[in-house]
Amino acid sequence: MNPFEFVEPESLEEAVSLLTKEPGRAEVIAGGTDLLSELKDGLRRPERLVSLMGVEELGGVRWERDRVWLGASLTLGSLAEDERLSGEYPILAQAARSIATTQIRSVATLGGNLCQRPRCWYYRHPGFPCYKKGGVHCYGVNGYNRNLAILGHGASVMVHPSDMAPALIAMDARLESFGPRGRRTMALEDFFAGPNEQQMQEHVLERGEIVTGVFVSKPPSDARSVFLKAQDRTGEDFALASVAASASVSDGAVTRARMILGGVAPVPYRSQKAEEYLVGQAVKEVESSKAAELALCHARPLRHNGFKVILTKNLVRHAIETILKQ
Amino acid sequence: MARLSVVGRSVVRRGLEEKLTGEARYTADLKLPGMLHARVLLSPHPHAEVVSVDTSAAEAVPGVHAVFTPFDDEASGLFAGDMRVLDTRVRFVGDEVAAVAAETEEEADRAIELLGVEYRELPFETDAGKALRPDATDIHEGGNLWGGEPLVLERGDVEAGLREADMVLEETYVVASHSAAPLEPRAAVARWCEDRLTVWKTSRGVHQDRAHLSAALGVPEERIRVVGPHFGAGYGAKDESRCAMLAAVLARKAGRAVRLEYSRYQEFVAGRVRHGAVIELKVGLKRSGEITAIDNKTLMNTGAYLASGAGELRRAAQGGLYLYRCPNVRYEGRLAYTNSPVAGSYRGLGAPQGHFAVEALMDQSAKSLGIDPVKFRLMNHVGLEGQLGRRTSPRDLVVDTQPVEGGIPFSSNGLRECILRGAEAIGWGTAVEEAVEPHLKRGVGMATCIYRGGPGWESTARAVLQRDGKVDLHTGVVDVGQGSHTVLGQMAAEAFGCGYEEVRVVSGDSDVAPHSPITAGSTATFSAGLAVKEASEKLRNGLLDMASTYLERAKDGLDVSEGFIVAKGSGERLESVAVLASRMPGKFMDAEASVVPGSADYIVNSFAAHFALVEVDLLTGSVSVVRYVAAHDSGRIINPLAAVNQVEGGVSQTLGLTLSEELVTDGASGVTLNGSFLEHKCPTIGQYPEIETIFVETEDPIAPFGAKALGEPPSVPVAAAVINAVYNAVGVRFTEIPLTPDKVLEGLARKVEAA
Amino acid sequence: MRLTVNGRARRVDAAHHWTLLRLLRDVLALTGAKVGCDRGECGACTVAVDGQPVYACQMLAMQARGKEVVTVEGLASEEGLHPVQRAFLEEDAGQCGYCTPGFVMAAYALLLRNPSPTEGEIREALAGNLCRCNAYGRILEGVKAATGKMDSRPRPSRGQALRGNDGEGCG
Ligand SMILES: Cc1cc2nc3c(=O)[nH]c(=O)nc-3n(C[C@H](O)[C@H](O)[C@H](O)COP(=O)(O)OP(=O)(O)OC[C@H]3O[C@@H](n4cnc5c(N)ncnc54)[C@H](O)[C@@H]3O)c2cc1C
Ligand code: FES
Ligand code: FES
Repeated sequence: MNPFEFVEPESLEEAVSLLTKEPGRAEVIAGGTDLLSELKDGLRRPERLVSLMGVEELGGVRWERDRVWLGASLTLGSLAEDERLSGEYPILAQAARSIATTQIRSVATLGGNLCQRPRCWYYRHPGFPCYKKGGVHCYGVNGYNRNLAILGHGASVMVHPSDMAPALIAMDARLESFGPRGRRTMALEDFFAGPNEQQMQEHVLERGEIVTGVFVSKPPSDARSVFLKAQDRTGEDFALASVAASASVSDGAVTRARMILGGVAPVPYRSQKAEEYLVGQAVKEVESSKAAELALCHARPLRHNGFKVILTKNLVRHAIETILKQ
Repeated sequence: MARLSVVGRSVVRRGLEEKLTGEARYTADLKLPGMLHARVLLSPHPHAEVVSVDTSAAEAVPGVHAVFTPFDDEASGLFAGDMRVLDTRVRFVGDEVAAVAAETEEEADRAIELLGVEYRELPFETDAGKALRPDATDIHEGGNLWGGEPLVLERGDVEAGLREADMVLEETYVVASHSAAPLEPRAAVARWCEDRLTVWKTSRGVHQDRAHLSAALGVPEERIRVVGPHFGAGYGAKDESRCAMLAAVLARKAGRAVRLEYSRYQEFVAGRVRHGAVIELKVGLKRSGEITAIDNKTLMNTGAYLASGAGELRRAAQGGLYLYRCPNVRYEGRLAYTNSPVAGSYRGLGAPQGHFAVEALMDQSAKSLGIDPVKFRLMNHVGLEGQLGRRTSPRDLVVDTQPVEGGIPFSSNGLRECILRGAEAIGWGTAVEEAVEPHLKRGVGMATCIYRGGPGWESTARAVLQRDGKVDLHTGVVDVGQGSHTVLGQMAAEAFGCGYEEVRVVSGDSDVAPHSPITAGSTATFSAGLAVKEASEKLRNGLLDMASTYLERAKDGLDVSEGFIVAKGSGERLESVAVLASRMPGKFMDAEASVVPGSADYIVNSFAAHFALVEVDLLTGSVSVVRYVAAHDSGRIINPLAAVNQVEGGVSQTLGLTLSEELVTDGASGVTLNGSFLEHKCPTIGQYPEIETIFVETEDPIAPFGAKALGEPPSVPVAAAVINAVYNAVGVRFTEIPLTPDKVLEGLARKVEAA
Repeated sequence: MRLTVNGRARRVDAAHHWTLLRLLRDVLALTGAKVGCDRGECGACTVAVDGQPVYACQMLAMQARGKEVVTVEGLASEEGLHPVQRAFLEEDAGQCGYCTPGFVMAAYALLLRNPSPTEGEIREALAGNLCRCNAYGRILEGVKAATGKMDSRPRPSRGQALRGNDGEGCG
């Protein structure tokens, strides 16, 4: 690893100023579980790391009347093990528990999970000057693309690696950030940016802007949800595909539906077609395979990843059957 | 079987306590005074001439003491057949190009970045089949087909056998390259004292390593000492590489001790992988179930260098040639050089690939004939008498552990019992209990295995009785993690007549250890065991001579047992070994034995039958093994708990080859893409199935205390057992491993389309 | 920077870019935690920080400032092996041993949080540790045998930094 300076400010303002002082030379570090691999492989060479762990307001879970606030520095381990969270937002605990390993979850943070970089093999290999590293080429397009996108590709066929993102989007989470221009919130769905909009990052944050946390509204009492993740290896592995689904049912009919696909597109992919199909349907009439076809109707598999279309359809079907049974 | 007092007991594994407390030192834990840190540059090109290396910028980095390039005099030494210490031609992405040594790791990294290497790129080929086409660029002089012609082994007349058959089945099987990925990356520490070199390294054979270093560096063996500290395993894959040579050259150039550790990525690409293979298999069958012919054409990818490719190619043959009673068999094996990572030894050495094909096709044969797969095996497996035919090799010659000819019996053969007892344990023939969820389908499958039984190379051991009554056992054998020191210590204690705790094992240092071969081919227990047993018996004999004088009793009325001289027959304790030892005329008493293991009359082989109960997830395509039974004939088991550990570990490790591990090389660039533990998916404890181990303890007259090979056999039948179980679960015959979810989902989709 | 290692408060110099693993191995000569991957993917470097299992390779030394670090060297006491170590020894829970310190620490951290885990919980907690010898069967038995035997009393530590092998003379 190239030498750098490690600083640990105690306030957000200080952190932002440390990040913006010499633009381009400083990076945020939270748990470091993702960033350190990038630094060790020389993918990035910052001169300063600004740690967020000294900023108290970023930690913890805050329960409000009709929503909960999850701090950016909350570890995935705490998220998975928090009993009240598991009770009220089971989908979040399911997603958190599926991530990486006990050791990673002890230090990896929610903010870091949402801001983590692609896991594409060409991106992670220092030998390929790929598009997401500022190059011109996405090597995945014609290369070995088994693990890459089947939906929504643009200049890159990377897939977004986060498991927390689909689960949170399925709960209509809002993201809060703080930057040189102050505080703002946005729908988490709008936080993510595909390769055509952003080349060197996967979100819309401005330079020096920090994710401070995520708000999740209290789900309606009739809500149900599930997070499903398919992997090559249960345990330490990213998703080949994941599905986060939630729905509300009243009087035997679906009144609200969210169908978010992970691991299949450069951003968490919201399948509006499937959602539209589900809303208004009587539960007994729902054909889950029809919803699955709709969810994947825009799929354009690459040379080695046709199986992901089958896989994702299977997961969508199963997710719908599971939540409608709940 | 006679009851013994130390052999057959689960004594505590030697060295485990210091491993548990963190005290055990591995190569990378060693720190010598003034030691420098080395780094190595790997080729970014799959095939190129190194035209020049500009070292000036690298040498100018403060703290850099040595830079080593292919243009240095020390680079040209040849070892392991076709590899130079450093070469002006690089043959795969990952081939070592240059190395540096500096005061700190950062300085060494910096220097590597500043090396100005000019390459002239050459056409390359990573696919074994394509590398053998006439228009492919030669990777080594003499062409890409190793040896210039295929290895052909045959018995009887395969064409005639196929004509005779009522039915011929034919299939092509594909096995991907995957890495042994030992948890400890290879490492070496080198230091020169004047013209003597000492190397501490990740080693499974200090004497072989010394020979390689000597050949590569042009330094006589007497001036090289190789020490093997604790070894973070290799499963075969840590030999034949440049790591120690580079450390030694850098140390000489710098005049300082140097430590070189490979990074995890370097271990994946510049380490050794299992040979990828394409196996075209044909079997001729009679309606009665008799096998009339087995025809096997195997193509293996050895990567950029030969390493142990020759042995691999040979061992891939044996399943087809010898597992089934069959008069007409033929094997045609070809080994191709390609511009991909080097394939080397890895547990089972070709046999897992070969057995996968043979045992998958035999399962299909049974099905096609309407015979139960277990029954089909019982009808056809090779028996104690061996293959039919007349022995043609000279009768006074030690029988090859992998013969082709018939007419030679086995020294012992428990295959039938393995099949019967394994089938019973898995509940073969009874309905498989359904999974709770409808999208999980269960099935059972089985496969059998024949493997070399342990005779390897000449081995020497020395047993020394010290004045405190303890016995030092000197052996060159390195404990690679399988527990050989525990087992050899048990054998020495048993043969000498003392408690296990009284034996100390001295090993792993080429200066003091008697010459021993590498720990390979599952031969340590058998081959080194014979030498240990004989040396310990000689020592006991010497002690009895002394006891006879001292106690004034006839020697033939005396015996050594549990640390005492006892009267034969009555067992009365006459004197303790410790007291006698303290009266020895000299400082110690010793005995040495060198043994060429093997038999002129029998084939010594180990056998196994494995049974898997799997669950296939129709939604995700993932296959998990729920329950597994491994029945083994490895003769007498010296240490039951360690042996169970060995079998469980071998099965679990090979589930990686079967279901998840593949080292992927990018076709366009030749770059290995997934050289990491995250992306080369080795099994974790999460995938670990419930495994039941059964030992069919045959009595073997040749083996030391009857103990045959056990290290590799557990890895041999796994793939076929699992793949056959998947067929039983979902009705699709998969022929390519690893059987990852993509293959399963596509296979299931094809089945639906076909229906 | 200051931190506590195996019960002892330490002041050490560490470069900002050093990992905790490098600090432990190179400065404090605690080589029990191994380098298997240096990327947070294998578990060979597992130590406990404030009671939580972490990969020492994927954490900066600076991130452990002021924290309490326990390494495998800190488990055994003058009274002998730690119950986890004893159970592993009796169950033959290791082969080459390279993964062993990491497994011991992961099991230790699990039993601190959850003194009697189910088999499923054991598997989940240890899935971040690879054993390439695949001695998983014995390791599972080892953890099961240690279940309920953890003693939470502070134990006098058996020696701090074990001495490195300083090599031998010219030989
Ligand atoms: C072996 C392994 C397996 C994994 N498996 C999975 C998996 O299955 N599913 C999954 O979802 N993830 C997985 N991950 C990724 C893991 O979840 C992330 O590494 C982790 O969540 C990142 O959190 P961190 O706090 O360590 O972030 P860091 O590594 O500190 O930061 C990650 C990135 O986010 C930026 N960043 C961090 N916090 C903020 C913030 N508050 N505001 C702005 N930018 C910020 C950093 O600059 C950096 O670029 C795995 C990681 C590893 C190493
Ligand atoms: S060395 Fe830290 S996880 Fe592998
Ligand atoms: S015992 Fe060898 S890696 Fe676990």
